[in-house]
Amino acid sequence: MDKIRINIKAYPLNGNAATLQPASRERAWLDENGHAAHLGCDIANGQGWNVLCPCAFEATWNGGPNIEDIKIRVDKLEKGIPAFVQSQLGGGILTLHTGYQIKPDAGYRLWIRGPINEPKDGISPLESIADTSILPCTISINWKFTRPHQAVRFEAGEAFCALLPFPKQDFDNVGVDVMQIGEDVERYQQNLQEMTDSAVFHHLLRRMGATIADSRELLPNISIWAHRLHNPPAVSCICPASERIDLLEEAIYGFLQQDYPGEKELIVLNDWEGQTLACDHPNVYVVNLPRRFHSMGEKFTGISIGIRFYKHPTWAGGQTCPSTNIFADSCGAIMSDHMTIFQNNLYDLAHNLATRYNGKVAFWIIWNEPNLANEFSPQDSNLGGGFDWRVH
Amino acid sequence: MTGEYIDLVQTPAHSGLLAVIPSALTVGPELYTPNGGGQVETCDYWHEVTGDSSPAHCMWRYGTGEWEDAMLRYFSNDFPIFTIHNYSDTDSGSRTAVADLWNNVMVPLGKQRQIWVTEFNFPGKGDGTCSLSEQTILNYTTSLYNLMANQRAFYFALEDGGSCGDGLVRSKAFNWAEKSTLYPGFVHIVTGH
Repeated sequence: MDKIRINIKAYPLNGNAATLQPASRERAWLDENGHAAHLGCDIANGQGWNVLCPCAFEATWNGGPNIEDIKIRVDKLEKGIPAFVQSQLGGGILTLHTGYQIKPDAGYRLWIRGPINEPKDGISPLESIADTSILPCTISINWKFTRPHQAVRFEAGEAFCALLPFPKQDFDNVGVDVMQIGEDVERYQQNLQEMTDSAVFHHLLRRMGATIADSRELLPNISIWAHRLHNPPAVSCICPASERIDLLEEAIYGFLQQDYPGEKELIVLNDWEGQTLACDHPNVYVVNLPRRFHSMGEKFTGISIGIRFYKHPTWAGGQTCPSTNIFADSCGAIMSDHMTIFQNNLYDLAHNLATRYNGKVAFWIIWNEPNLANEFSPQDSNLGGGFDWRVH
Repeated sequence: MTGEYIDLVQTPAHSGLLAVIPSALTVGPELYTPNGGGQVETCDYWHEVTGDSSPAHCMWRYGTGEWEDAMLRYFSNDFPIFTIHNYSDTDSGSRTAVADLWNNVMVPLGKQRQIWVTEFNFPGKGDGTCSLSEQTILNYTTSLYNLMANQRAFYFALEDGGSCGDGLVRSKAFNWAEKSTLYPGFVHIVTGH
């Protein structure tokens, strides 16, 4: 699919026009707090073009209604050139001029707003829309002080405005339908089908190695979508359970009901101190944690799990433990008095583990302390020890 | 013994991993190492069967035992990163274990590589004395991280186990309560906060 290119023409009005540059996805404050990957901000961050301060300035509002109630101190002011930051309106509103007339391609308007996801203490940007679909507009942006006697500083090169072109007709006739599943199942399924048929969704799946067939054949007990998706990538979902344990069964049931044709697993992170959870479904893994996470951010990013296998897991062909004692001799054993069989079993176990956890393991540790008699004692077929690796 | 370990465990398991993930990073061999002081406390199964307490089967100090020498001399390709466990009485004992491995085994063999201590704690685990206070364990842990010559060290373990209370949090019976000194101290080591 060819990308639509939109051109924006910017006409400098004087020698003090601000610098224009594409918006960056990075935000230092997001990275510092470890939130960047989980707030879903990065795509929004990179939208549009930013306008940068040509020089640093500080402004303070004394709380009054007049133009003179805002004091501005600009670090560098060229004589004979209008200052890009001015108090023109009163009411604690600061006006910043881009120094341009701007005209996107025909049919596009310009959304003028503050830098996306760049909050600033003491002052807030006001958003406006300029109809640039026919004629170029002189672009400025207003910021409203949020409290008096707070000195606000913008640095040279700091973004003070973001420009977003958008089609003129896009928002003119937008309606919202709230779909209740029980009311119109057929329409709900149709909408779901349209969503999964979208080019963006297909692109994402193809990037992960899947192929999508054209077939629209209807099959019993399987959705068209599940039928069309070949080589589906394995999917892991994290369910951060907390105090609302009563909703967990419903969440697990909903997950298992999804007719996703590929391998899928649900990892339930339980940090509720009052209860230890268990689930014996092979696609659901419960991780009981010893303490509460302080935030959802920590819950998603601060997890480093070391998994240690003492016995052959049942999903890899091991025996079911007859009791809660995982160290019982026959429980899930891979041992054999025939060493060749033992070696084959160990190869298979490693192969199965690697297949299951490919891409999720930073490094692998095989066995534990073989130089201790109670960990490695081959002569009496008590091989002890076990697989041991850590996931980061 | 070392050959049996390679034949029975390392080779089949490593092959199974590489068949699926050719670039899989496997570290090992997770040898239990004695207190840096050097008393006999690390014996393999052969000693169990025969009573043979020679350095080949009971490690006194690095450079005198067979296991670490054999792993590096004959199977060094299996262990691009060499891992050991150490539960010395003090942090200096742990550093001595690492230094001996480097100076007495790796350098003479020309098999120098990264050393990870994948389990450590104080005091010697299993001695039942539990004589060190949280503050002392934290002091040793801090010193070990500050002065260590090895590339990584993994505190073992998160929660108390056995008779010696050296976890960062208490056991399940105590609702995994955070240790008042050890837990925030370790968080400080890791995060700087």
